[in-house]
Amino acid sequence: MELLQFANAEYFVCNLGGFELSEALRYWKAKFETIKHFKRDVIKHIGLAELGVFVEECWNTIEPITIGEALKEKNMEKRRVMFDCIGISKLFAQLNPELLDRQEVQKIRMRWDENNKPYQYKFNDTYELYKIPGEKLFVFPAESWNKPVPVYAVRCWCTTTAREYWIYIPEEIALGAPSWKTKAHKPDAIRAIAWTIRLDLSYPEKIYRQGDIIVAVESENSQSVTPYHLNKELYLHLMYSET
Amino acid sequence: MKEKNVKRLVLGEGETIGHKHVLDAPAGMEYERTDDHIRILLKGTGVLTHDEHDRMVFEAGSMLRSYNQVEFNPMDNTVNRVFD
Repeated sequence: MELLQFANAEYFVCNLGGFELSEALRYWKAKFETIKHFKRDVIKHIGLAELGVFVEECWNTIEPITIGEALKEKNMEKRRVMFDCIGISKLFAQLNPELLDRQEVQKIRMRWDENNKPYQYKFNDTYELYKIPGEKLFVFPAESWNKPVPVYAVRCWCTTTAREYWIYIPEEIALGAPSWKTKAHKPDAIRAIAWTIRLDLSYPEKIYRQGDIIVAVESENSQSVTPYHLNKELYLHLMYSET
Repeated sequence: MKEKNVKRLVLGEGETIGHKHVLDAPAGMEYERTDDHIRILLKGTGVLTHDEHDRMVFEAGSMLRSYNQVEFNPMDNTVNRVFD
């Protein structure tokens, strides 16, 4: 495949344009775990098929962008895209985040044996809420109205596979109040994980979670409603089975 | 519901390792898919399985809605589906 035909084009990464091919390749290598994921999410049009073949040929030789490079990037829009590509797990693992809250919950949940016979399963689940100050991520001139905004994430572990997960959470959910209401801030890791469940169903009877799949059982009173995120109380009350 | 009638339905496929969340209902189920959820009416018992997770069993006659967990993206302030 000829490099020349792709080298003169301009590329978009995470909706930001203006990237040269050599740059875009390094961003994509950071963003996509495998060439399969790259092709699925980027090569969406037949007109891009040749680009897909070219990237596949050189995929193993591409060096992904690093957090160190992102922190040196002067263009804040570009830096934002770099963080987006690098991903939450690496960001929080390498930037020494601040632990805001840690809660261990004793749970009793329903499970089923190989004959589909139900039994109660008791276990402890741990949730941690972290913050990375905006100043560690972004820099704005002192005279700018824009101030660096912190990012928040909840860390949890799959109860079956023990795999670790990091999930970004909005600031208001992490703190329990808008950023300017500092006296009302009360970080809560359970509220944070509850927010990751979004339903469009009123009065669900109970909720099952298998990995990232959430199944809500409708009740007699259930109706379709505008999508909403679970709060802490609903999360603890409705969760019937988790694995 | 007047939508499709099947005995097996994939509710989600893992991003990283490709394992599927599969709902089996030998007596059949009707379903309809929207942008936000899959709505399912089980005619008999339904069993949700996955290679890495324990099974889950749903009662016959249940009306279910299946969703993906969601996450916030602080880099563009959007809410997106989580894929494990």
